[in-house]
Parts: sequence; structure tokens; C-alpha cells
Amino acid sequence: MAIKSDERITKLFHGYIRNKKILIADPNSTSRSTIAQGLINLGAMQNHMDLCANYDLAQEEIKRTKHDVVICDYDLGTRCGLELLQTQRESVVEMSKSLFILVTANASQSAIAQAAEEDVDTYIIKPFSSLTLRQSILTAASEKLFPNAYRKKIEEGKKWLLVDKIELALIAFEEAMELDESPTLACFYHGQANMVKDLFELAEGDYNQGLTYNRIHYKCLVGLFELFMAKKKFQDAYNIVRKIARYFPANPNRLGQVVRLAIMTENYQDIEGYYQTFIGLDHRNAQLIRYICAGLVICGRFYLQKKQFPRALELFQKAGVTGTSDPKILKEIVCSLIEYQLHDKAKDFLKRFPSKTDEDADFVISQFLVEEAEMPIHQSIDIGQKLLKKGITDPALYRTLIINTSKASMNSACERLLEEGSAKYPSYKGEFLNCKELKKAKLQA
Amino acid sequence: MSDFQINPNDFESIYLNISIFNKTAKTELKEGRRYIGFKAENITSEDLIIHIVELLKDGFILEVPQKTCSKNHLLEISIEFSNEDQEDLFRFHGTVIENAPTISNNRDSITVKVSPDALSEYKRFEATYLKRQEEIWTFFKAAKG
Repeated sequence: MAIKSDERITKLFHGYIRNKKILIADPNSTSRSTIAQGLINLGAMQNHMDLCANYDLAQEEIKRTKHDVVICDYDLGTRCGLELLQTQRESVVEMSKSLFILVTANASQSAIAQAAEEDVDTYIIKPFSSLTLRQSILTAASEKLFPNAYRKKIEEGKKWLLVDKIELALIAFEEAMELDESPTLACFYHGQANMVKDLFELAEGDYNQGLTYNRIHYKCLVGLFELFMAKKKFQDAYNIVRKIARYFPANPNRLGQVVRLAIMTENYQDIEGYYQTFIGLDHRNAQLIRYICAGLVICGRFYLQKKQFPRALELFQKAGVTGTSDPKILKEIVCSLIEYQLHDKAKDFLKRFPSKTDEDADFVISQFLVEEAEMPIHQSIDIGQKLLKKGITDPALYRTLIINTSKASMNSACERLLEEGSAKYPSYKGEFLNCKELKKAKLQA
Repeated sequence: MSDFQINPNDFESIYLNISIFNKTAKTELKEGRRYIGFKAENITSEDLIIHIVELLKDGFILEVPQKTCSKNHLLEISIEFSNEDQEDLFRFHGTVIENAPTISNNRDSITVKVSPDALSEYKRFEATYLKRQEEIWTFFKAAKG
């Protein structure tokens, strides 16, 4: 990092910090005092400082006092200090004149990337020296609070963008590009302006141009991803989002996007890798768990198709555990195993259903699929049709009934089921038809 | 590591295991236990963790449990350091030049001056952190542009 703690910056910062309200949130009292002393040495006033030991107190203080400068630890008990950035954004009028700094012992790349993604001003690892603290704060402040000509031009362009003066914005960003050796940010905003004009190809060019200066620039990568999604270029979007997840791995929403796109683009083998990442996440939301489980089941089905049964079973096990016995996930697993004649394995998964009652449609269908293989064919058809009458339906149920009625030469029942199932699940129509034709061909042979 | 592979190590931080042997008082703080002579004191309620708070030019400020040491005591400090690609052991001798209670219960803030013969070892430890800090600054600059 270029040392910008020259006299001019120190003086400017002194003038800035003198009247600013500051919050320091850190569970360690000695750390709080050390950081406070570091800021006092840079010109801050002791009576403008609030020191908090935990997240809740810090949040309350920010809401009440609206601190211009927040310095906090990443790990604040059970909560993440980074969440305070949102509180500060909601409380402070002009974020462009505020600072948010993380000082933490968490030196993991995932935490650092998450902070960069959230636009935290600087990230200082503990233990630090007073020189590191000073240098880091002054550099962050000088870039944000006392911008150079390049940054000023970008700000000018952003203002034009906000009031819909796109041509003026484009000119400002082009001028900014002339003012810096690596004008990645200017390229990004130029791309944004082109996006507003629906000039997707030009915007793509801008983002790619930005990435030639700086291949991991977060905004350019996200801009490119959103552009590909808007154009429904899913394979390209998948390639970009994988790259984003590689460098910014800790965002649970992003991981969900990656898994969803991996399924959409049939990159099933990648899902196991994402599962490993998922395991490493500190915070997992329900939606991400659903995506991961669905991904694991689909990946497992992919290996069933390839006749790699142990690998498929391993993935189903992981999905079962990760989904904490979610009936929907378990039903998908049972259906997949039955389809590949792995009845014993399906029985094992049947035992994992949390509520083994008639009220749980997923369990009832799974139980039927597991048990019907050992029943006389007419009994199976009878039970299956009773389930349909009760309103319990599923493509796997229709598939089984179509096969069995066809086997039992109950042609009119088979036709009716085919029609009914196809109307209910149009995307399965071809599969249902195949079941019937296949069975007929087998019988004829 | 390719551009498209998430690295599970990215979720690992730096782990420090710090122990202090007080050569003057013949006591030791190690792996969450306090030793007096060769005997481990049976303390379970006390917070016996040692934190490094600040790196100074020739030593550091530590936060330690009360009764770990007094001013002018000679200490031997061992730090086991590990992160995704490095494991190291740092060992220094030093003198307590300041001991002040903190506002936290049962904790002291101590300033340790590393002995001149251990200064190069201390600088090596400091450089390890500085290297990671430089990496973070570089990453931030690249990611934010």
C-alpha cells in the first residue's frame, strides 16, 4: 500500500475527525482503549467517542448518535460487526463523508472478501501496530474523503447518472478514464450508463475492459453477471458467478445463485465443490439450504444415470443430513432410488422421515413407492389410485401407475392416467408416454 | 487454484496458541491452565486466555488474566502460529515494563519489552502479520478498484 500518511493528509484528516462522532465496538476492553488512543493521536476528541463491548449496544448507539466513524470488530459475540454498516447507512445522511472500519483478529479471506464486497473502507487485522492503524485509516480516509481528480470525475458522472443525464455521465466517465492508469471503476460506471441505454454489448465491453485492468474487480464482475442474466446467457452468467464466488466466497445468496445456475447449465459435477464451501459458511439461510439440498439430489441423480451408485448415495446422504430430514428432499431421494431399482436403499431413506403419518403426503408417496414393488400388481394399482382420489399426487406416482396399468393390460386406465398426469405435470408428458410405450414394447418382445 | 474454484481454506483464519512462562514467579499459563511450579492449579471459572492487543516497536501489549505477572518480571512467551499455508513457533524472552488492570473483570493489560537477543525473532513475528495486512490492502484495492 502506498503510504499516503504525508503531512497534508494528516492535516486534512485532523480537520475532518476533530468534530466527528465516533463509535468503537470491540469485545476486548484493551483493544477499545488502544483504538481510541490511536484515533486521539490522529486528532479525534475523546468526548465524541462511544465505546461498546457488544453488537446490541453498538447498534443502539449508532441509531441514537448517528456516528460518522464506526470502527468495529468482525466478530461481535454471536453477531457479525459488518451488520452495523447497514445500521450506519440507515442512520447517517451522507455516507460519502463517513467511515466504516473493521479491526479484527479474523484474517480469513472469506471475511475480508465479504468486507470488500460490502464496501467497508478498510480492514485491519489484530494484533496491529500503531503505525498500521494510522496508515490504514489515513489511506482509507484520503481515498474517500479527499478524492483525487479521477475520483472526483467519477462522482460527477454518478451525479449525472442519478438525474438521468446519461450522455453527460458517459462523457464524465470517459474523462475519468484519462485520469488514471487503471480506470476500472470508471469503466464500470461507463458500463452502467450503457446498461441504462440498453446498449448491452457496449456495457459488456466496458466491464471486460475494466477487468483487463483488474481481474477481480467486484463491481465489474457483478455488472457482467447481471448483464448475462438479463440476456439469459446462463452459461456465461455461470462462469462469471463462479469467478465471483471464488474471490468473494462468503455470501450465502451468491452461493445459492451459483448452485441454481450449475443446475440450469447442467454442471452437476461442480455441486459437490459448492457443498464443501457451504460447510465452511458461518451463516446459512433456509433458502441456501434448500438450494444446496436440491443441488445435491440433482447431482446424485446425475451419478445414478452414470451408474456410479456409491457416489450418488454419498450425495443423497449429504442432502438428507443437510436438509435435516426435510420430507420434500427425502421424497426426491426415494423417488430417484426407486427409479433405478435401488429399493433397499430407498427403504433406508424412508426410515428418516420425521413424521411417518398419513398426513404427510411426501411420506405417503415415498412409502407407496417403496412398498409397491413387493405387492401384487393389482393391489399396487388399487392403492395408487386411492392415493390419487385422496388428492395425493406426484409425477412418480403417475409414472408407477402408468407402468403398472400398462403391464396389467388395463389400457383404458393407462390412457386415462397418461392424460391426467400429463395435464397435471405437462413437463413430464414425454416421460409418461415413454413409460407406457416402453412397457408395451417389452411385453410385445 | 483456478479462477473458478472456491478454496475451502479461504474460510480459515490465523490461529494463535500463546503461553507465558513467568521465570520470576515460576508460574505458567498454558493451554487455558495455570501452573504453579510443576503443579496445575485447578481453575475452571477464570478466563485464562491470552490476547495480543498491540504490536510495539520492541514488544507488545498483552491482555492476560490477573496474577499472571508483575512489573519487572521476566517472561518467556511462546506463540504457536498457524494459518492455511504456514505453521510456526515463535519464542521470546522479555520483561514486563507496565501492568495495569483493565475494566474487564480479572484481566490485566501488560506491556512486555522483548529482550535484545529476541528482537529478531520478534521482528519475524511482526513481519508475518504485516505481510497478511499488506495482502489485505492489495486485495481491497483490487476488489474495490
